[in-house]
Amino acid sequence: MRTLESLDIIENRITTFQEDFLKLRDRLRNVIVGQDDVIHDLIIALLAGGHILLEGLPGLGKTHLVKALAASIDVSLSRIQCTPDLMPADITGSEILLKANNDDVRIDFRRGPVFSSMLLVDEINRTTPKTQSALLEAMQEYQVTCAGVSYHLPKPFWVIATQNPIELEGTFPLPEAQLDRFLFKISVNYPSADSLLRMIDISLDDEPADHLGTILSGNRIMEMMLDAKNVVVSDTVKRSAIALILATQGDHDQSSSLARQHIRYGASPRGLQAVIKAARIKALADGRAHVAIDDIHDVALLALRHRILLNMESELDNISIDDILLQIISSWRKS
Amino acid sequence: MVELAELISVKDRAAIERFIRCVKKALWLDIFRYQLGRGLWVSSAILLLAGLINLFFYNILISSSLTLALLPIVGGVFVAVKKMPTFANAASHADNLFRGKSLMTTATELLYSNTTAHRDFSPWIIQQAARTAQLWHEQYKQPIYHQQNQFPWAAMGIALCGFFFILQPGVPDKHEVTKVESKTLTADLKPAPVTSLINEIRREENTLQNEEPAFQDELTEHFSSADKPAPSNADTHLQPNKKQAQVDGLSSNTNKDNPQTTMADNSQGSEAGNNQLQPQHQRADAGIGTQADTNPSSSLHNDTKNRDIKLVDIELQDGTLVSSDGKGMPFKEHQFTGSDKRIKLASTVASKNTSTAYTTRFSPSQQQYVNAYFKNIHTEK
Repeated sequence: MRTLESLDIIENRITTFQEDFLKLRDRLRNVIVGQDDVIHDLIIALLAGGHILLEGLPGLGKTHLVKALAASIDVSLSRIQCTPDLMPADITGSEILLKANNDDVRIDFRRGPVFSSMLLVDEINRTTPKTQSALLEAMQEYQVTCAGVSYHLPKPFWVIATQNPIELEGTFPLPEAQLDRFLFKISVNYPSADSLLRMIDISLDDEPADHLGTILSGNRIMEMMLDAKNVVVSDTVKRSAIALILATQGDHDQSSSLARQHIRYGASPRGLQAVIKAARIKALADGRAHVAIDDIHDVALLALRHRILLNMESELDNISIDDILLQIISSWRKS
Repeated sequence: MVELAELISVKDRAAIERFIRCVKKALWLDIFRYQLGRGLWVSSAILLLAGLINLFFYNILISSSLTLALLPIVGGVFVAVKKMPTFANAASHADNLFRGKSLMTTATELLYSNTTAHRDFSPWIIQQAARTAQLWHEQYKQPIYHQQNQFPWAAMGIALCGFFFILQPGVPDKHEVTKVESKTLTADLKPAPVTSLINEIRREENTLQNEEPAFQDELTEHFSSADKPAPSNADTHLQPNKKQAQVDGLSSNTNKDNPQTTMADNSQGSEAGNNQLQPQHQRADAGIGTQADTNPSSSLHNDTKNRDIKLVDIELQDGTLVSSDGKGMPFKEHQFTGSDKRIKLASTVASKNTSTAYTTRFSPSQQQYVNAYFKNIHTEK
């Protein structure tokens, strides 16, 4: 009987996860019009506990989307507008001298905007690499070190950065090490005509995101993230994901011919972890407790596109990483 | 952590196993049919090719053709056995077939493999897989889920056609003549009809009976003694005096490999052996067989040395046409025992029903010839 009870509990957990996922997705879709796929991918990355890089032209609603997301899940949101003169301490915080009432002076650490559950780093490529690298420790180790003292960040913690793909002057492209720490790189594209028409009705005079109420608590988000760890990934699926990662590497026995021809650096082991983590959320969102190869296929482009570097010839030929990666994924899926 | 086996029911496990076994069996049958069909096509091509060669170029032996044609089929079966699918293969196939999103693959690995880590959700996956397996099992019985591999009747037809061609009499006079025999046949040798042989035998019989009664008595006496149990050396009675033969410049039986050496082998490396292949008038004194040279009736040789047996081909009981080697016997030159009088001896003994002791010393082909020889004699009588 204990088995049956266990099965009912498991089923309930999976069903609840799926319902909450859809609830959050639908809420955001009502606010951000015409970016359904972006919303879906954003929630997957969020529940996988990964950081997200949103890339798109200005005015497509990236910042608006992040604000709506933070409002919906009831987590603290901080925003950093990146400029070339932004310093690391402006993000992490710094030690300051404080004078108490009794004229005692003491050094106290003033926490920066990074100490929030959700950090929106707007136009991250406008700030200098020095400042960008200030985020490295926070993104990877969930802590900030200042004057030899480490301060832990709140849990959950997400960095959602945005960048403009077309402006090159006065920008500092993110280094590979920084890019590798983002779980997903999501491209935000122009909405369709129908979406634009609907957008006029919804957000012409008002910002609906400002009035959003919470539908999922932060604790519930944490529970959902824990549920994802109980999703079963079979050995076959793992091997399949590994084969995909190896196919992107240009100098490996299992490399695809496209990778040998166009790719200088392929996906890293962290890319493999990102694929599996995201696939688990995708499976649970579909009401499954196991990862399918289809899940790997669906998240592969999002998880790998920013981890691959084209070689010089391909860059000069203006070959898109997405095109190469899509072809590699397609041939991997067929095999 | 509680073991997975404790959390899943036997019923669920059985349902999954039953379905996977069913898929595995069907999958293997598909592989088997495919490999068998491919082997059959190759075999039919081989048989057809062999049949055409048999008809137009060279006679093909049926047994070798069939053996060669069987190889691809056996190979196909072997490959099919080696490619027998595993449970994982069957589960993956089922997932692909029913768009199962790796459900059966995961469940199978959870049940039968230790590589996939057990999580909290594992029992639920097994339960879902069991329900799905029951549903799929019903659907899997429908023929749309099975490969419609037709038996390659066309290949069978081609194979039968090729086999029919092989059965046909091909290019004539190929395999009746062995290589050795064909070497010994010279261009001027023309096979005589059976009747000529019979006439020849009759004539010689009459000659022997009319002209040489003493000789026949000697022979009878000699071969009667041959019917008795042989001494330890079976050839002794036919070569009583080796030393004398050597003195006479004749080689005795030196080839221990050939049990019929009383009738043969003096030709190997000996002058006598070479001489016996010459026309009789040139080797009158050379001596031929050791017996002829050493037995008491040395006059026998003188009496019969001028007798000649013509070159003949003789049809044996089984219909085989035996060619002579140019000296009146169907033996190879080096097997030829020496003289025409052997034939006469044989015929004489046969007339007295003592041929058995004599002919058992022939090789099978020689004995076949002699049997036919005697048969013709008796028929004529």
